[in-house]
Amino acid sequence: MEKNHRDFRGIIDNARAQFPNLKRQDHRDNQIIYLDNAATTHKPQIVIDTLVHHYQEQNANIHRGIHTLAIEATSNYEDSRKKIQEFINAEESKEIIFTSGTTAGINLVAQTFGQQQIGLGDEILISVMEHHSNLIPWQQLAKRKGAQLKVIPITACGELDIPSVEKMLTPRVKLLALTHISNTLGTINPIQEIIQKARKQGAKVLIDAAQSVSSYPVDVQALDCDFLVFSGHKMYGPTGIGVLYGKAELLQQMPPWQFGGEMIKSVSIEKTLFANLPHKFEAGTPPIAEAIALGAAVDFIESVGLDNIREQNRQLLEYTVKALEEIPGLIFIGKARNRTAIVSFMLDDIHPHDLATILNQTGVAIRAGHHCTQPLMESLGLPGTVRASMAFYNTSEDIDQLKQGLLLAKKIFT
Amino acid sequence: MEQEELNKLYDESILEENRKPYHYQKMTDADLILEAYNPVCGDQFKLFLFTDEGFIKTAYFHGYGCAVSKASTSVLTRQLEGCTIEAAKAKCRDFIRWLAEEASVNAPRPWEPFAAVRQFPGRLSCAQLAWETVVEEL
Repeated sequence: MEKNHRDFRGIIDNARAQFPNLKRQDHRDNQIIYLDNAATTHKPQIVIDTLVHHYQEQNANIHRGIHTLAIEATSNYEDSRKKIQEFINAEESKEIIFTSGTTAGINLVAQTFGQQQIGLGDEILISVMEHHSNLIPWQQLAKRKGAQLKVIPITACGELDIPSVEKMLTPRVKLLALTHISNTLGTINPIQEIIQKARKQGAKVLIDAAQSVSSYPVDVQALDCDFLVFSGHKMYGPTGIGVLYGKAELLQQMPPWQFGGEMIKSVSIEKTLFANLPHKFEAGTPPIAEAIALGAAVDFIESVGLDNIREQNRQLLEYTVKALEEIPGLIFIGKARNRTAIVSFMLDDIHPHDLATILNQTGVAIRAGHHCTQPLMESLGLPGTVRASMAFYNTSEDIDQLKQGLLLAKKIFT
Repeated sequence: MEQEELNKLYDESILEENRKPYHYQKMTDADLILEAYNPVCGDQFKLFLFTDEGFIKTAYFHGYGCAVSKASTSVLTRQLEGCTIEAAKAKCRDFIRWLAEEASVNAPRPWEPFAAVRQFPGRLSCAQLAWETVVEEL
């Protein structure tokens, strides 16, 4: 037990040392305490090196050159796809489509699958805790098609209201689009159970895993979801790259999203034969360096171990809740029984932006506002919250610093 | 930690103006109602103006925002009273340019505490919010 504990600490400390940006100071020589990981995570050295290596030693376009550089770049790009396939346990690598991020993945599904399969009177089911990126594409699709957008409410503690899920999952629902983890409340939704319920009613399911792939094992075959989307930059990878997983059978039936190079078999002036999966959905030159570096991010996560990351997040959440609970006037927004290391809160009647300014002055980076979840804020009757979102590299000292900053804010405002 | 900058931003007059804002009341029968809204942070204030022969006789405001935006809207509300529409717009243009240091403007005393906002670039829009609404919508 003692040895296990030492191993765990050693692994976390060693992994933390690989993030150069954690050493950053602000212009007041404060060490920057980064608690905005739900927005984007820092990048480990291996991801930065992989990006640089591509441009420095390998730069070439992919899938079209017969020369050495093109062959190497193509092979690394496709290797990255395989790593991601294994990472989320997809059946085939052609089910992994590189996108520019979660938003692009959802729009792709809305504008191809949605455009084709959703019609007048059909229902699209989402939850009130969705990020705008998993709301607006469906809202606009529903408007175009005369479909209905239905919204699952949450309970007082910020969990999905399961009786409502059961009631709302009727055979009219063609698609359920649901987040795995709320970026605002930290709530972890019981997606496995909900996907099963949706399956029984014949609905297709899209899971927004943007907040979860960096810390929770995701197995798309065990989940049996139809689509799953995530971004590279929230899982220690680069910006500008993300993944859409789709069941091959569905992806094959869907029309292409964008047209141009890379996604064709043959072209004449009159007509085009489109490429097979996954290239059908990857028109134009993709972000090659970013895709390869995303593979490095997957390697990095696996080297730390999702179990270790999750354990560290659990400890951080426990410590944060305990530390912040001691501040009089602090109210947590969202107290789900099963949640990740994301906490939203309010302090007295101090506006979130005033808190953010004061915390920033002490070197603590948090997020204030509606977190791209305005309907959720409206349902909570709040204009915004303060959100501290931790990654495994955060420490209890970081949380102590957060607490000190909040106490300073209290002092200023009394 | 440089608490000095913070103390300037959250100086007594801004905090006091935030705690006890001027004419902080909904007046739905006003002659003119303007809405100041910042979609980025969700700050939202309504300005209620009673006019007489081209002059703003009395002004009220109500809404939600941070200490800086609420205090600055409160100062604005007080300063709008007695102005013609044109003079009100000119005053607001001056405030915005003064705050952004784009022009040398003789700042009246109530503006002075807001100069500290310049040290917090992300918060400039908080101080300017309602003033911009007057320039654009009045």
